[in-house]
Amino acid sequence: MNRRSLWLALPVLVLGFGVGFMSSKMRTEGPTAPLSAADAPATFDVWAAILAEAAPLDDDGAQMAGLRGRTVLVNFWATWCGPCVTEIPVLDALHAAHADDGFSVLGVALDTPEAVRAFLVETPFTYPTLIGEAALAVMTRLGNQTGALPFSVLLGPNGRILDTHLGVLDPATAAVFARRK
Amino acid sequence: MINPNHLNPPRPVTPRKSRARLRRRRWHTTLVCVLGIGALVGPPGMLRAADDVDLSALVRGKSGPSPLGQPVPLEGSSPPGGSTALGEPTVLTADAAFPVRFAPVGPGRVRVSFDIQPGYYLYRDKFAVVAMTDRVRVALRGLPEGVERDDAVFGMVPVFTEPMAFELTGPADRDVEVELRYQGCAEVGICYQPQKTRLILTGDPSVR
Repeated sequence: MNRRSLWLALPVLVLGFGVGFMSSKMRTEGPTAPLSAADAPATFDVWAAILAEAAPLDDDGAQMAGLRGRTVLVNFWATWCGPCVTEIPVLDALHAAHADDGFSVLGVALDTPEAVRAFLVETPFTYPTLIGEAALAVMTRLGNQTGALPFSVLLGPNGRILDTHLGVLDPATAAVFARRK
Repeated sequence: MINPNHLNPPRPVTPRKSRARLRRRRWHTTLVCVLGIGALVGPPGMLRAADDVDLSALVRGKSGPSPLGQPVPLEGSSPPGGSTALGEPTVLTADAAFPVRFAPVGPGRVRVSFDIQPGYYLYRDKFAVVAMTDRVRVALRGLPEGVERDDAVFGMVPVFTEPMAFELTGPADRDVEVELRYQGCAEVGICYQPQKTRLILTGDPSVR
C-alpha cells in the first residue's frame, strides 16, 4: 500500500474504531430490559460482574477464591432491609450444613462497609460477603427490575445461573436450592 | 548498460475499468475488516461470553473495568414481578409503590404528596431533605406521625401505610436544589433501596 493509500485509509480506520466503540458502548449501557433464559450465553461472567463491582469485606477474599466449582447461592442484602436480616440465620445454617456437599452462600451487601462491619459485630454470620452499591446494576441485569431486596441467585458449579428468587427464602426452598447442581 | 525496464518493470496492462473495480473491491474489503475489528474489539477490558474468569484474580481486584454490560444467563429463573412455584412475591417498582408529586405552594415551599399503594409502607425516620448548596437551611414541615409498626428486626417503628403529604421549606429569596430521601418496603417481605429525588425549591415571589 503506498503512502496515498495509507492517508486514505486513516479516516476509515478512525471511523471503524469509532463505530466499534459506540456499538460496544451501546452494548454496555443500552440493554436495561430483563434478560430471559434465551439471552443466556454467558456463564462465569456473572461471577465476574458481581465480584468486580463489589469489594470483599476484610479477609473474605481468601474464602471467595475457593468458591469456584461449587454451587453458590449469591444473596443480595442490606443492613437497612429487615426481611434480609431475618433471612440470614436460614442462609447461615444452610451454608454450614452443606459445606461438604459443594454448596456455599455468598452475601453481596448493597450497603456501606461501615454499616456492614457494625452489623456483623451485632449479628455475625459465617459465610463471606461482598460490599458494593454498584451491585445494584448487576441485580438489575439478573432480572430484578424492582431493585428490591432480598434477592438470591443460585449459581451452578460451572457458574451458570440455575435459579433466582426475590424475597425471603423459606428454609424448605433454601434446602431445595442447596441440593441443586 | 542498464536496461531501464529492470529498474521500473512495466506494470501489467489492465483495462481502466477493471483497475477501478479492483480498487473499489480493495476499499470495500478494508472497510469491512476495519468495521468488523472495531465492533469486535470494543473498549478494553470488557468481558465477552467466551471469556473465562479467574475468580481469585477478581477478588484481588485485577479484573479491569466494569464488566457489567455483559449479558448474563438466566436458566430456569423466576422473574421478579410474578408469583412462582417457590412462593416469590409479586411486587411493584419503588416508583410505582410510592408515587410522589411536588407542588409549589409559595416562595421556598413545596408540597410533597405520596400516594402510597396498599401493601407498601415508608419508614418515617428515613425521610430527610438535604440542600445541594452549602449553608442553606431546608426542612421537612408537617410530616405526619404515621402508625407504629412492630418490625421483626427494628422493633416498633413509625411508618406510613396510606397516602400522606407534607412540605419542604427553604429560603424564600432564592432557588435551592434539594434532595429528598426516603425508604420503604412491601408487606410481602421485600425492601427497596433508599430512594433519592432532587427538585428545586424556587424563591420566586410570584409562586403561590
